[in-house]
Amino acid sequence: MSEQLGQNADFDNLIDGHVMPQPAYQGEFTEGEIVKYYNPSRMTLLEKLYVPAIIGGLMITARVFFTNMAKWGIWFTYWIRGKGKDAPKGAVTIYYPEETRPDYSPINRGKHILTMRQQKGPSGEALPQCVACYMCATACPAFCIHIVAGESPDPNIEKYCVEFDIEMDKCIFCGYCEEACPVDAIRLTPEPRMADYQRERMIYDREYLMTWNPTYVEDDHVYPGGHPREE
Amino acid sequence: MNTAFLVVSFMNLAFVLGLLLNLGGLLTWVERKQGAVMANRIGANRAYIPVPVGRDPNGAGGFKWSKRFTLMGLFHAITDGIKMLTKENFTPPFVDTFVYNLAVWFSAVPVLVTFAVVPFGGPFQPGVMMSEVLTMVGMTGAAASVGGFFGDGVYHMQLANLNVGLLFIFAIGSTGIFSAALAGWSSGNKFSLLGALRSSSQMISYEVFMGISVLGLLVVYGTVDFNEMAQLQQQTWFGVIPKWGVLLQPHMFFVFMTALMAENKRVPFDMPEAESELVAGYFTEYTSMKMGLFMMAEFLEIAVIAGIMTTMFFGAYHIPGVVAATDAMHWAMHPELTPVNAIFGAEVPHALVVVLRVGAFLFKLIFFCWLQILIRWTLPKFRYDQVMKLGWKYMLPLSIVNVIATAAFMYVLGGM
Amino acid sequence: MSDQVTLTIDGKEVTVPRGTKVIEAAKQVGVEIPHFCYHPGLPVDGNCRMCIADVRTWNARAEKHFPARRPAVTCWTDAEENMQVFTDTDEVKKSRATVMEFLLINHPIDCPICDKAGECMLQDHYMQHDGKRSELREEKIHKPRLKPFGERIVYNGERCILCSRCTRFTAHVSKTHDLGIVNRGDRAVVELAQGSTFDNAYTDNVSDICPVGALTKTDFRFKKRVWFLKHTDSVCGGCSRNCNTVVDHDRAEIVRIMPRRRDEVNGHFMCNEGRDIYKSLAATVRTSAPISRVDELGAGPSWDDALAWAGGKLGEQKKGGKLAVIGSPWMSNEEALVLGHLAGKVCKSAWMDIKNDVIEGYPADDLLHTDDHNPNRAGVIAAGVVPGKKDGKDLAAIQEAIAAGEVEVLLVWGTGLANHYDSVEAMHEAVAKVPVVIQLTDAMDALSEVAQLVLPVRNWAERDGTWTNFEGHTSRFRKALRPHGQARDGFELLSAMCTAAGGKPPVKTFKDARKKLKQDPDSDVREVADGEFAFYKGQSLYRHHSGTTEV
Repeated sequence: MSEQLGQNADFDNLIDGHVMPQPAYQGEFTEGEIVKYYNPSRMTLLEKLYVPAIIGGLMITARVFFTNMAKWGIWFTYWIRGKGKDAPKGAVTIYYPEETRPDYSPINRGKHILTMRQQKGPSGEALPQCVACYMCATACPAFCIHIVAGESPDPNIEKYCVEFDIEMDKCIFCGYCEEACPVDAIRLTPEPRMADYQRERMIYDREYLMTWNPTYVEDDHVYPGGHPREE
Repeated sequence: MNTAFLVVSFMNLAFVLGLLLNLGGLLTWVERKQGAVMANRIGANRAYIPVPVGRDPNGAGGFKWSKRFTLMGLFHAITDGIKMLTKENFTPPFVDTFVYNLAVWFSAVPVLVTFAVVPFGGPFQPGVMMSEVLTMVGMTGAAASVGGFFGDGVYHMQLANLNVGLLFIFAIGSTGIFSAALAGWSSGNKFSLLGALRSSSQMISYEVFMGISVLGLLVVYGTVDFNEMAQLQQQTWFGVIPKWGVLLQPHMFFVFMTALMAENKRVPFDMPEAESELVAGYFTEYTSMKMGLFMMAEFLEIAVIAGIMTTMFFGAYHIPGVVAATDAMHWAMHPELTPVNAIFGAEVPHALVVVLRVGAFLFKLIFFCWLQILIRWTLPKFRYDQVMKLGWKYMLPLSIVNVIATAAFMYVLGGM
Repeated sequence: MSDQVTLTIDGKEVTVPRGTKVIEAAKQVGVEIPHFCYHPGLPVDGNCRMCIADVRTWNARAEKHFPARRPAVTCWTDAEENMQVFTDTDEVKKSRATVMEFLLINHPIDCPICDKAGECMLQDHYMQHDGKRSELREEKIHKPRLKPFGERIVYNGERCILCSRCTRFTAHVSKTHDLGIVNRGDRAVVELAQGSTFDNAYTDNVSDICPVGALTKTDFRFKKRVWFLKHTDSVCGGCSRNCNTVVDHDRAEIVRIMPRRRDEVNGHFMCNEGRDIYKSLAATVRTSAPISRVDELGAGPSWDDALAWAGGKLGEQKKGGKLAVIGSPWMSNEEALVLGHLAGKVCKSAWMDIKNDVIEGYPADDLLHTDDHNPNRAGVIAAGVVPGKKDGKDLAAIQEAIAAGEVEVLLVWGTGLANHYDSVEAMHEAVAKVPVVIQLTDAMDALSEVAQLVLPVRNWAERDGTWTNFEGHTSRFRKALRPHGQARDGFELLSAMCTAAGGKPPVKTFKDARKKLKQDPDSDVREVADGEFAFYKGQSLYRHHSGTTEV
């Protein structure tokens, strides 16, 4: 035991001052060889002293702080001239929903749409491409797609979706529905803005999904307090 | 005790209370905003005051509340206050009501009381200062009567001029532990109790070497009176370098600061609260302003710690290079060093001296507040064993060695 | 020549009766031979050629196997002594793939909109035996789609593979000769016989046996994809035949009822009325909590109070003997056992009989329908709900006693007491003379409007139990849905009433009850029909959607 302790007296094998339990050594070793089972500590003396390391860390964060404050100062010179919206800021985040990011990827997986057939229905209504095969609902890992199938009003089409609801608050935007669809009826657009204050409105019905360019109401009920930022 | 003394005391009291309470509120905003800027975020920006500007576009005829003044999110501090004051003041049925309510007072009162001995400016002569100011604005009659009321009496810009200053701070500051212990015990909640146990052990551990760490400094200063410390720190080496505590005992600056921050129970040392483990630690069961007072006490303590650090280690209210003449009653700038003398000559108005000193103190105070929040947003939380290890195995021996070494050094040198 | 022959199928030896087809013999040793047109409940046709295998007959004189010149259809080949069958040689596999390719030449592959997708034999066999892309470059032959065969079946000629199962069913099982195949070659379609409306009681079976989605039920059309369904074994209560069924349900709602093979009860099939029975189940008016019309209990008593009160009223009749018990042929055997014990042993009532809950229904025929429209008359009588042995009074006597005001407590299970009176008013008038009427029921009826205490019990879709049909075969039904409201299991409820009345329940568990009733211990063994429901064998791709019974 004392030999073992002597071997492990090396500080590297001490974690928080305790001798850690040693696993059985699988290979061969010669007498007197010190077997190191753990990654040796690579800290220098300066780092082990801790206080210099802390000061280094504080200097890093302080540097970020002052850099950002300087950027905000530049932003202020814009803002005071009424050009605050275009000015570079000292932050990478944005004032959502007054501002939106322009740099979303064109292949971002966002709001769903239902594609429509070129031919209109007998009474001139738009018909979805969807044939209500439930492949998307089957593939959906969040179980957020709910379809009710029915006879299509178009005699050339047998089956279509009478109701097609997506619970967007359950959706995880994996895109499996898009992959599973055999008729390219459902697609995910890059549109990221889907936030709402009412849970009921997070259930998108067929008509809304077939409206490809929803208008965003930049008015009273966009966010609490209700007015576009004017600063 | 005369009337003038009472008036000056009330002036001091108003200044200190106004300073501390405003700083406490403001620090809640600084905490968020500074943390945000350090992390490339925007931070608090939603609370605002609506201002009726412009016409209602819907044609209703009235004004539209279209302008929002967010003022960099400063209103968040106010809304926090309103929220905490107007929320339901709920007392859980299972608590020990008397102790539960008592603990709230133990949290805020000792923090406020400790600031009583911190000098936020040097000795000053209100009569001289006010008559100078009033003369400057042309009210000579008022200047004469005010000067007559105060005479040329010298007062300290400090709430209580105690000659046991530091000991008073230790004595009162250590009662802060009652708040955590009583709150945790009386809440009847296991999380609270765990928080209380942790805070007890942490605070007691760190109080041990908090006292010992400054013993070395006391040996050098030879006094525990904060005013005398402030006076001593305006001495210089070679006429240039001020004899500040941080230069006398730089290592103990770190140790003392660590101990004070551990006493404050904030992030690197937030074992007693530990949101991820203990909900909110010892004040889990508190609501509305009772909870708000616990939070407020923490932010007040930031300011108090900053005041103590400033006074003991950073030359109190002194500006380096701008030192008083030897005559305590007659104030002048150091003639050959300061540009102030270029304007005022050798004789500087007393009011300017007071303003400069208070300003210097406030600058240092705010710097230390900023530094503490910087530390809070930089360092990750310690593990409990690390807290104990740091305190008992490194800080305490270091403090003791420092006391012995300093004493031996002073004995050999025979004084500072 | 003995009646048994021994042959080898893929190296496995099996002994079967002479005359057994090779495909059936193979099933006995666990070798599944793919097929479309073969169905064990129908005469053999052998037109799909999918079940081909390398069959080598034994020549006794030469004392060796003769290799076949070509693969043989195993559905039409009788098993012979010493025969050797190989079902997985390369030649057989290639032949199967070729058969699949031919079948798929004109198949529209509209699986996304096909209701059969998921339980389609063509899909399964394609995945297992073919897996190639179509090499057809011409346009597929178009045939009539959406052609109604009667009111319950829709025919899609493009999906049809012309296996003739449906025509054989109408020719040999229902014997109505409704369907036939007309035209030749790639223009052949199934056609309704001239003048036929295809409205007999067994039409839906042609959809079940259709290996593809050519014949779909209007009742199930577009309703649900089959892989979402959960399958629970059940028994049809429409008549005393007790056809074994599978209840397919999703989200606490029965979507369809399918027949389950049980040779001694219903064979492979069931009637249309039995499939629709879930609709009447959904239409019944039910109470979710006990209803009381006595002052001691108040309007909405708790179960504990209601049971204690009912048990007390029954217990009072231990000596007086003024208790009448009217059971129901809709009770399970286990419940009937406990009710018989409660009335006969615990309360020693002589007045006990069963009533006719349902008297109207489709007429009996020689296939499956019977005269009795209640499922379990035989079982309830066997379990002991009969007039007391000593001085026992049957239902007519009970009615007389009620009219005479002799009955003090009347315990009724189920609905339909008014069937035994001239009218509902007459029943109300008679029952008004009884001070305490306790009804245990899964549906509200005329008696529930006047009974002093109505206790909701679970219906057949919500509980476990067994029924015995008129031929004495016992079948087990299982819980498929969540109980409605606070409805309780009848077995548990009656046992609790036994205790509350001061007696002891006769048995503690279902298992004990079945042991006491000396029921067929294999009554709950499920026989899987071949190929019709591939998902029974755990072949479902979407295991998270199906395969478990909802608890």
